[in-house]
Amino acid sequence: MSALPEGFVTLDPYVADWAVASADARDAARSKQPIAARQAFHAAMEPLIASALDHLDAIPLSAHSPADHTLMLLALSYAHIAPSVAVLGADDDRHAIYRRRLPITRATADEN
Amino acid sequence: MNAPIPKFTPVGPDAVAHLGTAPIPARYYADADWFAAEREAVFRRSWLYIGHVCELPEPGSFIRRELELFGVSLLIMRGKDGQIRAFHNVCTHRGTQLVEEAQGKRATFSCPYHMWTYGADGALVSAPDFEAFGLDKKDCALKSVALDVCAGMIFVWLAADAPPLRNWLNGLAEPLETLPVARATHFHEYVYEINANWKLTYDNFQENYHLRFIHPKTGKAAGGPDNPFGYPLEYAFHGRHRKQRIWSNPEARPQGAQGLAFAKLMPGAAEADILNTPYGRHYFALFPSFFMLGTPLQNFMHVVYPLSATRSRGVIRIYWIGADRSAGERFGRESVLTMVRDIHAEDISVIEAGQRGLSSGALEHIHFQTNEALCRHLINGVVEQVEAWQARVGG
Ligand code: FES
Ligand SMILES: [Fe+2]
Repeated sequence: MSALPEGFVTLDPYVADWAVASADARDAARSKQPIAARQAFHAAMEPLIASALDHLDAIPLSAHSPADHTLMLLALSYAHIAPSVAVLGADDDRHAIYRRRLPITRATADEN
Repeated sequence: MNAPIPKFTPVGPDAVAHLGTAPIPARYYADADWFAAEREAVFRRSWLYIGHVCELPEPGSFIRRELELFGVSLLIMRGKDGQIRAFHNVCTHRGTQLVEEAQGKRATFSCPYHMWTYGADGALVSAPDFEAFGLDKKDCALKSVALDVCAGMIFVWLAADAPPLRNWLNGLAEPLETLPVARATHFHEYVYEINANWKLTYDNFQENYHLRFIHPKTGKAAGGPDNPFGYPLEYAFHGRHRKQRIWSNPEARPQGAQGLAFAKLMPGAAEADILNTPYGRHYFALFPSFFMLGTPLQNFMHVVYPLSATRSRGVIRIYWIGADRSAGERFGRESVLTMVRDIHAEDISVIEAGQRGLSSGALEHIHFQTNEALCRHLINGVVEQVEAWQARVGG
């Protein structure tokens, strides 16, 4: 059975690595995953991000099902991976050690 | 109809001539004795950002903040009367630090050692066998520290002679109060330490001269054909403080995920009515080491707290009005965090390389050009303040 809402099951293979529970952990996942994994996640998410957010926006945050919540976490990881792949590319590996020196200590997504 | 795009004109040397053009002694950025003087003259005698009112939502809410520079621990708390006050986190009986938690909510604060107990207004409310001291409770309140609030931001002044914050801000209180921070209820935050002097760390964010070299990809939109460095349109000086008006590249449109993120932030921003603020393209620098970008969808602050002459801590907060209203807004806010932080990550190594060079003692002087005027204005203010203090204390 899919961990994700209907229409987003093609993202199932990415749940284990990218449905990560805090902003700082999402950044750590970005740093940990090799460029090929980042590119694969980016390629899978890019065509679906707008419809994923439309789906999630139709439901109040407090009423998200577990599957909706998992999709939300993937969307939030995409917020980290889109600049990694589309802007920085191979440079992102070099930057990872500096990003890890800027730990995220508070994020609105972590507060519910 | 599209209005023609005015050609960019850089700020010329005349506009900043009053700041001087002389080389700057390099030792100001590395020397331990100079730093010790700055601690007293500048940091003990300035309003320092310490927190935001949204961190103290209710009576009894408190935050503990460490100022390692002074070896000082502060308790900022909201009393039953709603008033926010700052105290030394030090029991007045025999000095024990009162609170270990970084933040929380309590009606009273009891010292673990002998149970002297204080109210959220700092007053000593009870102490076991207190009659045996022959003291008056009203003389045993927590030691207070001057505190004032502007635009929702809490500032403290450690020395005894605090001027009103609003006067000290020299005309910047009113602009700051128009920014989202003034009504913020939430923020993103990241914190870091860096092997660099506080001014070197801070100056990195006071000039765009480096953008095209250090941020060729993340900062691409900052420059354009007639403004390759992405220099600002204008500098303005407000006593020790300063601001600049940022140039907007007319060609740059946020693309892809960035464009989606900003689109998803728009409904909330419209609801909060922050899109037409008069200072949305301004950068505010408050002496000594605070800056804030007024951009409504990226209203972020960066404060550099010195730890030693060559080590500093930075705190970055991106302020938001209201909890995440929707999944899209949550995505947009986290995207803004990654944008700010990705750019910042590119600066760390070059700042530390600068410190190694300055600490080596190889240079007598460093140099600032016209479009590094904000850096020059900072060091001018620091030198004036240190020299005035040295003249007062005969140092
Ligand atoms: S030191 Fe705090 S009660 Fe004694
Ligand atoms: Fe930079």
